[in-house]
Amino acid sequence: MREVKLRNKQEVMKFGESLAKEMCPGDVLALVGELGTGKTTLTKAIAKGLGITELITSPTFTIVKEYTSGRLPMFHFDVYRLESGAQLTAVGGEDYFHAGGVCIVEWADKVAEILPDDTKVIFLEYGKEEGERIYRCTF
Amino acid sequence: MYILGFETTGALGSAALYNLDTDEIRCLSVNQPMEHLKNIIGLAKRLLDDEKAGADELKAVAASVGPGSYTGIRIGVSSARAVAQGLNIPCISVPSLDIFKEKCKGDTGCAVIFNARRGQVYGAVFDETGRDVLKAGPYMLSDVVEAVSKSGKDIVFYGDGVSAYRNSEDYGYMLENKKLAAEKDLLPTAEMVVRYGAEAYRKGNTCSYTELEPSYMRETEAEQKLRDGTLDRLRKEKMAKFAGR
Repeated sequence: MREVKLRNKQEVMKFGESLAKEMCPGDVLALVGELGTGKTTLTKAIAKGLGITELITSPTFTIVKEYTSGRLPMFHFDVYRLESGAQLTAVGGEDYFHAGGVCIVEWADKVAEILPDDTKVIFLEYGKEEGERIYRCTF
Repeated sequence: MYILGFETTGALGSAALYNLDTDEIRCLSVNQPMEHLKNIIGLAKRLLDDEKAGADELKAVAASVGPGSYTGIRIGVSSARAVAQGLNIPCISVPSLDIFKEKCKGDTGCAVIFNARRGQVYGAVFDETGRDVLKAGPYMLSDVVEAVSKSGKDIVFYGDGVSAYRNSEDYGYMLENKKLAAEKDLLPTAEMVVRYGAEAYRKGNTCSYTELEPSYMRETEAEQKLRDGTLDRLRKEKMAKFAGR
């Protein structure tokens, strides 16, 4: 697995923006990491890279939010409150995986069983230093 | 010049100041059990004020890193890290069982048992010279008691495990006919932490604040629960598949 060390928020922004440049319609990106490791921050960086101009806020209460002002539609999930993939399926969440945009799923480990096999996963972890993060990427 | 020390791994947190020039120690303790978080830094400030010393006279910060209360350990380690980072001074990692070696005197050794519930302890046994009879670690109370009996030495029991188990229906019998320290001497104190810390400091055994790590010796209950297998098998398999890439 590829390991990337990001020393601060600026480096996270750069990483996310360049990742956005490579994203294709139908991509599912799963973000797995503890509270505070920067899942939403990384999502904001990707949104910026996609050219999305809307304000990105955490969809913890709405499960998913759609952003359409960029190069590709972005579907931003936060499944923290869900107990299984079945719950996401029940509300039609899976449909987004095939809707021609990019899906970003925070807390993806809660619904892992329904994620497509070719999902790209980033495991976000705290680094040793203040502000430092380690990303382990499956791609 | 001084060494500041925190002991927060037991029910009563304390802070102490060791004067490296005179070998004198000042120590202050919180009055209420489990009040470390609110008070430990305040205690440190009072110690410095009482000594009419400035923070710039601190050479290092020692913290008892465990085992012991999880939250307590976190508070002590985080407080020490913060002070060390702020003042740009080193930390001293103090193992909370090993500080009881100072109780070994004459021909008397010591056994330390910290209560880890259901007959479990974090324990260690030291002979009269402070050498390991049973190395510090997570044990059943019976393991520690057996090590003491087998050693054939004169050994006194310390730690909150003594008060927790001595009157227990299930485990109390193990401590019958054993030498137990007086109630007031059972718990680790910051005074012991700075004594250990000053010796370590003089030997050059310090570390940076980033290297000061808790030593829990056992996973938390939450971690154990998660491990109990309540997680959905399929989800686990899928995550394993992802993680293996």
